[in-house]
Amino acid sequence: MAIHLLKPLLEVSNLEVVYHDVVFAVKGISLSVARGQVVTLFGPNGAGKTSLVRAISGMLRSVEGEIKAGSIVFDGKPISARAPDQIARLGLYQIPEGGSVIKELTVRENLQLSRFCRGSLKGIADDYALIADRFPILKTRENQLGGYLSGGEQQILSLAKALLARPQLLVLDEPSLGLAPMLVAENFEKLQDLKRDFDVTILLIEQNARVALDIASYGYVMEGGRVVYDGASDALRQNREIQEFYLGLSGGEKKSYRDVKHYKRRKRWLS
Amino acid sequence: MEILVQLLLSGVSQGMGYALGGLGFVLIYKSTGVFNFSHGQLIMVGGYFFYLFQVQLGLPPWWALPVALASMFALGMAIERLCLRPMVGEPTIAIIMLTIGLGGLLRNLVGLIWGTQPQAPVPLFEPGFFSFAGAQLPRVYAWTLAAATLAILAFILFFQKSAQGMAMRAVAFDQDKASLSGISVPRVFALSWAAASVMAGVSGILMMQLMGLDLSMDSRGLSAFPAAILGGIDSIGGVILGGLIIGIVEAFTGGYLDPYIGGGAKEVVGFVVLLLILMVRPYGLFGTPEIRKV
Amino acid sequence: MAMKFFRNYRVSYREDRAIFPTLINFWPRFWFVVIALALLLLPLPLQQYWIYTINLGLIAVIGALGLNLLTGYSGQISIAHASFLALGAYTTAYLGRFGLPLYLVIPAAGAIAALVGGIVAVPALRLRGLYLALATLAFYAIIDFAIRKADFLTGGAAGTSVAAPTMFGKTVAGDLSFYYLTLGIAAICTFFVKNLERGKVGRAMMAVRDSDIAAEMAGISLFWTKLTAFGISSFLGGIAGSLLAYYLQFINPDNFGLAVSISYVAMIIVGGLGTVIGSVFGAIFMVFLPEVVRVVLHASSSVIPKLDVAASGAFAEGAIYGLVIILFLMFKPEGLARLWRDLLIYFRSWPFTY
Repeated sequence: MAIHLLKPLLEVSNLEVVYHDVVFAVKGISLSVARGQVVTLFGPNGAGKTSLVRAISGMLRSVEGEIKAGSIVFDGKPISARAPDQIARLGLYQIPEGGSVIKELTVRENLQLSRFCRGSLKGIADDYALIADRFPILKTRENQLGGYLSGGEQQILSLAKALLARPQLLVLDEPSLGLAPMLVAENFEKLQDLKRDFDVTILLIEQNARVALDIASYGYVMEGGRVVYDGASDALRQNREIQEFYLGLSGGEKKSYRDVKHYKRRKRWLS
Repeated sequence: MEILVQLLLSGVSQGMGYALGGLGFVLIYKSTGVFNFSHGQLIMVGGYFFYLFQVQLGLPPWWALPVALASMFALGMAIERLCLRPMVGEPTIAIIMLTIGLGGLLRNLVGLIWGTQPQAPVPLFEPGFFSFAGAQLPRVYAWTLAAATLAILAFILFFQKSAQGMAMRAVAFDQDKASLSGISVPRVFALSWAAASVMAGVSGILMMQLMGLDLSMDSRGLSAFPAAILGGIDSIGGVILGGLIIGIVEAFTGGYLDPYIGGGAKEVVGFVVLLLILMVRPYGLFGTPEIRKV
Repeated sequence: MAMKFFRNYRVSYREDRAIFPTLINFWPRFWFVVIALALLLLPLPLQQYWIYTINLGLIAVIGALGLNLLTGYSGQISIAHASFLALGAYTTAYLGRFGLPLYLVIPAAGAIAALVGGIVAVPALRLRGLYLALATLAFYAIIDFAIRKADFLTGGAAGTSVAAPTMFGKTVAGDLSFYYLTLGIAAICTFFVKNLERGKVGRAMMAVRDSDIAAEMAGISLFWTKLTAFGISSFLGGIAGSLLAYYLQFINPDNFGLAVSISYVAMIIVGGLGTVIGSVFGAIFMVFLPEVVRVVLHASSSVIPKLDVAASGAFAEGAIYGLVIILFLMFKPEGLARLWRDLLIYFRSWPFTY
């Protein structure tokens, strides 16, 4: 796993995102993703993760959001003012929550949409072979409408679409949402293989912290619109707060409901 | 028998004209979700543009045609950019009203510039008759039929096979996801309107050959609505079939029913068919039903 | 004392139920009386032509109230409204031959229109949005055809004359008398709709407009709500048509063409969908707009010679009319009612901005 110590692939600096001029969703976030890394961003519902991702991929306008401050630089180019299709063509490909399958198009047609990032359909067959190898379901369902696929299959299709576009950075927004644990584990394993084959950098937004920390090398924890902790995934796994609040390990001592102080306990991120 | 064949031919060629017009609606609807109530007026403007270049400016028809169509292309893009893009996200009725207002504006501008007198265009196709199945049929019907069919085939090829066509369909189904796939949604909108205007132009030019050029052309274009709905507004094959059915039904009504009741049925029968289809199968013969969630 | 006259909260159930909730305070009541007086005195100093235009405007108000009920409150798009006016008008022409007084004829005209409106409601049960609009377009075409063909009843394309309206033995003649008649009816209709909007029926309609599946699940019968919407809307349209027939004294199918339907839709959009005051503003605006345009064109005809020619003038008017609709939709899609509301809020909360 070669990590370039030079310029990061994606650099977000002091980003602020506001919806409808009133809702402050992202309150000054900085993060960076180096080429070749798998970086994860996790946190509870409403932390602002999806808002951050939308800001990165240019989709804020369609949900009435705005970048109020800060900057996003991708591969040396500022992208905070660009349209989503431009950002995709630059090599930053996002798979939104729920997948990127267009339901009314067939599986095959969905895959062909990657031509808009590739420039043409040339060479797509070889890349496709690589993916279909790992996910044979794509070949069997090639001519079915995307909407008829199950949730897990749609995630697979979204992944295939994304990789066929040969992005430099793949941004995944909660890919495990709604999937059975077994399927999640399986998909993530294949994701790691495909990452190698296609040489992509991955920014993974997840609620399932355990799976996320398994495949990522670096992680950010987001709460209430801010990054509250970050570090290498090993360090994160050892951290007591993270263990308790995100990994479900409460250290063995039995807690009783009468011990009110426990529930009033604030997360002491800096200690 | 002769009457039957004559009616059939006129119905089919008229129907293909409707199909061509209907396909323009369908293109705009499929790509942008807007139902363009001003399409009848666009068809009329196409005819008048051609007249402008062919007769008033005296260009030879093989020059006048591309110039007229290029003007339609530009008009379509202008309409999209100036009137429709600012309306993204507004409720359906506002957009429908906007297109109706646009239609009124176009119609009045045409009247302002060219006046109410019917114009005398130079026919594109040689006049005269030919014999078929024992009947004497006007040549112009056959030529328009051929031209319309060609135009439709070209359009289908474009929409199904080309990258732009796929982009239009993706945008029609899910704008956000299409955008994330690297498709420029504003560009697709602009292109859709431009292409639809070109098709309207062709339709207008052909209709001009069949029935002359005057201000009533836009209400005849109204008959393309039932054609599009009958077939299913997001099915190309459906629109063509719908156009043919409406054209033939209108022709037969005009030929057989109107003489008994003193006229008028021909214009209204298209709407009767429309109503029946809406009651029985609102999404048309081949359309895909809308999936709604609460 | 100040508290009694300058509050914007309510202190009794009666106030809560009021039809015009802003009339709690002194100033709104003051202006209400002033406006009422102004309306009563308005036509006296005016020339006949302007009284004529105002009368047409009042008739349009009634029609617009009807359409707004259907489209603005219930979300049922209809471009067939002129047909309901036509039904009311032709019923009036027919019944007038029997010498019936207007207080019988006008409601009857409304009823006939409402009956047909109920029929139109049937496809509405299955259709929404664009498809409903097309179905109403088809209805318009069919009714127009029927009117032109049934010349034994309607006089066909040539039209028919209408007997003068009579009331308690006396004929209502002259623009002035007609003004007061129409003003009274328009006022009644306005109160009626304003009352409707805040009650069970109005709320059911709005629920159907906003989310019909959810409304049905909450126990609202889509069938009855849509039927009521079409029924009342056509009833009001019929009344407007009836008054129009009495006023013009001669009607033909061209009075009720597609352009008229479209102008009604324009009225409620420019005025403001789903508001009573929007219907009023929109109707007045749309009726007076051609007049304003005509004045402007006449003034500028010295600059642009072509505009003075009669035929071109009509087109220029039409073009500007269409342009106004487009501009309104682009820049102020919520209409004049919204402008009015913003204006009031501005003054109410001045010098604060929010």
